[in-house]
Amino acid sequence: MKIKRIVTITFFLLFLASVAVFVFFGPQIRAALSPEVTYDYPNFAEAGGRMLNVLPSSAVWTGEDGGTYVWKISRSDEFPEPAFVVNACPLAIEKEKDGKVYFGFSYGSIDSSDAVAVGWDTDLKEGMCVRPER
Amino acid sequence: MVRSEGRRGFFEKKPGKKLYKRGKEKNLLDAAASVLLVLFALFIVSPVIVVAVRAFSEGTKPFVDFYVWKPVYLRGLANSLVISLSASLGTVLVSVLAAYVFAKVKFRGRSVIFYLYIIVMMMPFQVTLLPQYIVSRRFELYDSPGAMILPGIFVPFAAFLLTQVMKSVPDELIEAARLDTGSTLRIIWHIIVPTIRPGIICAWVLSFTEQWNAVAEPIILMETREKYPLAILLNEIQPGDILGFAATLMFFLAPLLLFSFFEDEVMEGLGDYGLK
Repeated sequence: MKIKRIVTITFFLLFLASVAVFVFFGPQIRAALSPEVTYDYPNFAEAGGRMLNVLPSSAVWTGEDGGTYVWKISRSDEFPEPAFVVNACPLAIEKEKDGKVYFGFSYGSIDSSDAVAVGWDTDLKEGMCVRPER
Repeated sequence: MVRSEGRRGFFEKKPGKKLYKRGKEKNLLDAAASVLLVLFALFIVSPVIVVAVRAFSEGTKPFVDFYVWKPVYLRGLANSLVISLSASLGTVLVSVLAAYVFAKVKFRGRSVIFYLYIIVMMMPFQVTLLPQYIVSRRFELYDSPGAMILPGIFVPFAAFLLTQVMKSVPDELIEAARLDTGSTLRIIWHIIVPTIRPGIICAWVLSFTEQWNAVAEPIILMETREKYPLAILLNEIQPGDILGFAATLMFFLAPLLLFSFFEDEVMEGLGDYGLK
């Protein structure tokens, strides 16, 4: 009986402690667990007589369906602290030259005001929290 | 048992008839009854087992999501803990004092007030929900944990239970203590509380569980999602989402651990005193 009480109260105190730690120190824990990504904004450039957006080639990745995507960084309101998440956006590349990709405007894709991840160390997933650095 | 001559009690058999089968037949009947009871118990516990198995089906990822990446549910759990612990501790404090008055202090109208307590206790909570809303608005407690905690402190069930418990404390004990000290609060704290400790713990655990499981009151008395207890937020989790099972497991962990720790006191409080 005494062992049962000791085990139960230990679990209960651990339960309370875990809730308290993650409530009060959650932002710091999330920041430590979020991967760092380098971001940039698309630039404009003229190509073939048209104004196109330009991004470094490192921003582009190929999805499982064979399509080309970039990671758009946006603010998330899911967390009590300011946080950023990445979402995959399709990209219709019109031209690739000198380590840069040129793409036009399209529905559902990114525009010049969107922050795009151009470098990351760990694999990113849809909706993942990140720490953007310029 | 007092009965008229020549009449049998309900369970009494005719003279010469065996009440129980003996030997092998008794063992078979006992075994069959045990198997049925075990199956019934498993049937009752099966939802808990299903939740626990599904929660761990993807390893620890759902729990990492619960603690780190979906903080709204963790905050809901924290809100539930704050509301339930505050309300239940307040309930015990108020109910011990009320129970002392009902059990040991004789005054005119005591029975009437006690019966009013019982009547209010038997009312469904929906009856008092609108008055609670009006009072929370008037006291500017709406959309705050106080809107749940303050009404939760003044529940009649705990006072009723503790009144029955306190009736078992001998009056001579209180009179002897009064010779040493005239202070009623000191008598309650030093003499009565240690004597009825199991009943107090039973009242506390039951109040905690009642507040923990409250669903309708938070919906009416709160509107900010960040202040909702976890009982409300569990409705938002998508069906089939393993996070829902993990959150459900975390939700019933607190009352389960509390009840497990205080099992003896709860059984004693309900069994010994509840029968009186």
